[in-house]
Parts: sequence; C-alpha cells; structure tokens
Amino acid sequence: MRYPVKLAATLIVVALVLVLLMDNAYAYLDPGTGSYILQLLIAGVLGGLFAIKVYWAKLKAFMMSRFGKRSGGEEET
Amino acid sequence: MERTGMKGRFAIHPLLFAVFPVLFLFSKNMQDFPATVMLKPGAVVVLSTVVAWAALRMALEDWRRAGLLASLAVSLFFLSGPAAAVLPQVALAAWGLTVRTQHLVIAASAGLLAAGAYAVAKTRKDPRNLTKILNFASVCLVLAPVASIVRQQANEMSGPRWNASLADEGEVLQTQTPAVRPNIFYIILDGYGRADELKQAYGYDNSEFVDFLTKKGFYVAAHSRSNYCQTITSLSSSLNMEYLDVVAALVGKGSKKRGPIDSLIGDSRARKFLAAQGYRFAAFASGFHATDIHNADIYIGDPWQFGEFEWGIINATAALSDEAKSEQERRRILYPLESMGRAAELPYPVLVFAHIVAPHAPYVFERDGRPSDIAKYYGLATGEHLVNRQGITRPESMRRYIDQMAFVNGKVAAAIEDILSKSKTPPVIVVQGDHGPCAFFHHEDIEKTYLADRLSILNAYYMPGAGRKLYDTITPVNTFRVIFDEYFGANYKLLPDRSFYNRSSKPYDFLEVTNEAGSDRDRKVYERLKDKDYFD
Repeated sequence: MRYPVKLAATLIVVALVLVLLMDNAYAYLDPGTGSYILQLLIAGVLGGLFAIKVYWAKLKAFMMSRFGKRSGGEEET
Repeated sequence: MERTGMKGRFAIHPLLFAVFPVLFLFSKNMQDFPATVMLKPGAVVVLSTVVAWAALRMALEDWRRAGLLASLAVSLFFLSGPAAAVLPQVALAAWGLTVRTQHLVIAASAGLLAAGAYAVAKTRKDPRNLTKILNFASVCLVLAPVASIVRQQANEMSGPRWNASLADEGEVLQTQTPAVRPNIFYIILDGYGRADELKQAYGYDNSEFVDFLTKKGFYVAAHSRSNYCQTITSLSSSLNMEYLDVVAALVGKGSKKRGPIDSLIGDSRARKFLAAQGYRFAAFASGFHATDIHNADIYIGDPWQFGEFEWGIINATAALSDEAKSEQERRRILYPLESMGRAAELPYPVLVFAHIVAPHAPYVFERDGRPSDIAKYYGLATGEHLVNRQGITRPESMRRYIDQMAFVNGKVAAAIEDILSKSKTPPVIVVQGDHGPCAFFHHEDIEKTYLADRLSILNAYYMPGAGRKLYDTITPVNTFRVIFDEYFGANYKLLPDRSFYNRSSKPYDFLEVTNEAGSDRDRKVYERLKDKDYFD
C-alpha cells in the first residue's frame, strides 16, 4: 500500500474514533459547531492526501525533473 | 492517457456535501429526534442541490464541471453559519470594522463563489481527477456522522426498552366522569421563578402579576419548587404525576438517552387519564423537541414556524439574519399566548398543553415589548452555556430575563382574560414554571448551582369550586393528582414534595436536594457567584 493511502486510512480511523467519542451534554439541540468544523477539516485533509495520491505520478515526475536536473547540473560543474 | 476509473466518471459529491449537515445534526441529537426528522430538510437540500446542479449543467454543458460549482455553492452555504459563529463581532470591532459578521461572511462567500464560477468556466482541464478527489472527500465527510448514527442506534437496540408509560392500568376505572367537564389549561412558562426569590436574587418585585392572578381567583403557591431542575425531567414528572426513579431504574442511572423521558411528555399519564374521560389533547407548538407533541389530537402551531431540528439546519447557514431568527422566537412566544382563547371555544373538553419558552432565553423582548437590542442570536442556551460561551455577563442575563418576564406577564394576563371570557364552563388553569431561572444554574456542576433559585417556581392554580387540596409548598408532581382527585373523584394520594438535581449529560442520575436548596451551603454558593460576571 502506498504511503498516502496508509496515512489516509489511519486518519479515517482517528476521525471516526474522535467522532464516536464525542458526547452530547445539551438539554436542547446541540449544534455541535466545534465538531462540525473538525469533521470538515478532517475531510479536507483526507481529500488533500487523496489528491496527492491521484497526482502522485505527475508530482513525482515534476519533482524528479526539478531536482533531478539541478543535482545533475551540479555534478557537471 | 491518464486512467481516471469509475470514481471520476460520476460526480456524487454535491449531494453528499448537501446531506452532510442534516446527517451531522441528527447524529449529534438523535437521542431527541426520530430519524424521520431528517426527511423534510434532507429532501429540501437534495432537491435544491439537484435543481442548482441541473441549472449549472445547462450553463456549462458538463455535469462534472457543474458538479464542482454546485459543491462549492453548497459548501459555502453550510459553512457560512459556523463561520459567522466563530468570527465574533467584537473581533471585527477590534479591527475597526463596523460591518456585521454575517454580512461579511455572505460577501466573502459570494466572492469565493464568483471566483470559483470563473475558474470552472474558463479552465480547459479535464475535471475527472478533481471530481474523483471531491467524491472521496465527501464520502469521508458523510462517513463520520453515519458511523456515529449506527453506533448510537446499536446502543439503543442493545439497551432495555421503555414503553413510555407510568400509568397504572386499572387507575382510570376508579374514577367518575363528572357531569361538567372543565377544559384544563396547563400553561408552562419556561424558567419562571418564584416571587420571593426573584426579589431576593434579582431585585425584581413581581407582586403586580401575582396580585393579578390572586384577584382573578388563582391560588398562588407561595413556596413552591420544581421537582427537577430541567424542562424534560420536570414536565415528564408533572404530566405523569410520578417521580422518575422508575424510569431511571429501567434505563440506568448512567444512561444518556433522553428519549424515554421525552416520550413521557407526549404520551403522559395525565393525557391518558383525561382521554378516558372523553377529553381531547390540544398541544401548542413550542419549538422544543420534547414538548412539540405532534401526535396530539389537536396540534396548534404557527404554520410559518420551523421545528427545532429544521431550525438547527437553518442556523448552520447565514441564510437568516440574527434579527430574523429573533423575530421567529418572538412569534413562537406570542402565538400560543394570543391564540389560547380559541381552545376555550372548542365544542368538546380539552386538555390544553402550552409550553412557552419564556421568560427563558433567548431574550428577544425588552420590557415594553420592543425587540431586544441584543445583536446576536444565541438560541436556547442557558446557564454557563449562555453566560460563559456566548459572552453575556451574568448581570446582563439577569436583566434581560427580568425584562422578558415583565413583558410576558402582560401577555399571560391577557391570555388568561381571553380564556376566561370565552369559556362557557369555568376552566381549570395552571400557570407554572417548569424550573426556576438560569443565571445561577450550571448544567454539569451542582457546586456552581444556586439550587434555591433554580428550583423555586411560579405555581398558580385556577380551580373554581375546588382547590381544597392545594397548599403553599405544592410541587408539580402533585398538580394533576389534586386536579383529578377534586374534579374526577380519583383517589391519588399526594406524594411527598421532593426536588432533584441532575447533570444535563446524565439525565437519570438524580441527586435529591430537597433539603439542600436554600441551605447555608446553598446560600454560600449564591454569595460566591452573585458578584461574578461568569461561572468559574
């Protein structure tokens, strides 16, 4: 399994545990603003990691072309 | 050619982003609501999203591009509420900005949406990968509340079942149906304190209203307390004429499920007793889940009012201004008070139940009836939820409470006049606080609660030709026992008048405080709290 996928899987588990442990201590409707924002952030991070996975090949190629060329150039001097 | 797979072929993310707020709110509050409560708001958000998506599809000629924009619009819409909530007005003032947070959030959202629309319209890139990513993120987002709902449902099913009844099956047979059946009005004024405590802790003289009641023929119990310190426990007990120990024993002291207590309000022993006597049950919409009794024989509500869950969805957006939300609350308070007299004209005997969320927060009325000048809408928050979390000081919350009470007094007096003038048979009217005020009430810590204030209530009875069993320390658990004994020849024995504190997070873990309220220790709590703007 690739690293981003492993990380995403771990984050999903952490997110679910966090959400499952949250208690409602209100006597009236609990808007849960804090955990609402937290869940959005977690989904955003997971989406970001998935984006890295989707674009991994392009990202790798870009990095290689960028840093590979520079290190090659240094060797020539 | 890049492989995109099935995940990028279909866009599902706009719908998942749209249903997330509904699922999330339900997962946080499912102990108080049936799953069906999600149907209406769920259908509205899904349909609105589909319509917007289809319209964007026509403009952009691509489902996936239209989906990107639809998701952005939906996300911004449902982010605007939390964004406005976490961006305090004072912070804007500190930056020298006079603009309202809500307006700023709406402007920022509109800007982002316009930028997104421009980017989506202009880009030549294939949207499949972005669709795939958003599909993944939206599934992750929805997974959390769904998992929470499944877990809570599993817990619910594994626990003991509660059949929502405290009634003795044979008790109705022991009564006699009287020749004349008076309408019975049970008017609950949420958080309405007792006159002597209002004078002592708030410096407010409520004798004008008490005198009005007395002159009208009400018996006002001068030293009454509530049996419980919160609405749901108090009303479950009063409407079932029992303490809730039996429910706690069955459900478990450590249980957090409020469903069994809530259900006891709608399907109460008093309701069943009177149904057997030929009464119908009329309930006014309250805007509070436990007392919004939709299965009443007659459910009376302002058609323009939202239910508590729908209200929660609206509050997750910046769609309504704080002023508009406060206006909704004003209508919610006034509607039952101004229409109660109509129930007196019904051609059959009725038990009318009206839970009016006032003088309880939100404080939306000034003393003279003008809209409150509080800029922010903070819902039903009370105690430390209001004073500490919303930034309102204790002295201000006390002043607002008294102002709202003073205004509501006049409306209650008018409602009573209306009921009496329209009643062919003299009615029974009970005007009662479900618990006392909230300025010295902490939801989770009895050491930070001034019990005498929280438990002392207004408790007034209009029982023409009866009322011999009333006494000045009567508590709500005995309210219907007295009425049924005196009017229907029932033989309920009066229960000892006891009071309990429970934490909001542990609704069944009752701590008896009958002797504690008003004790030296209790007075010391008051002395410690009274000069502090906030709870410790």
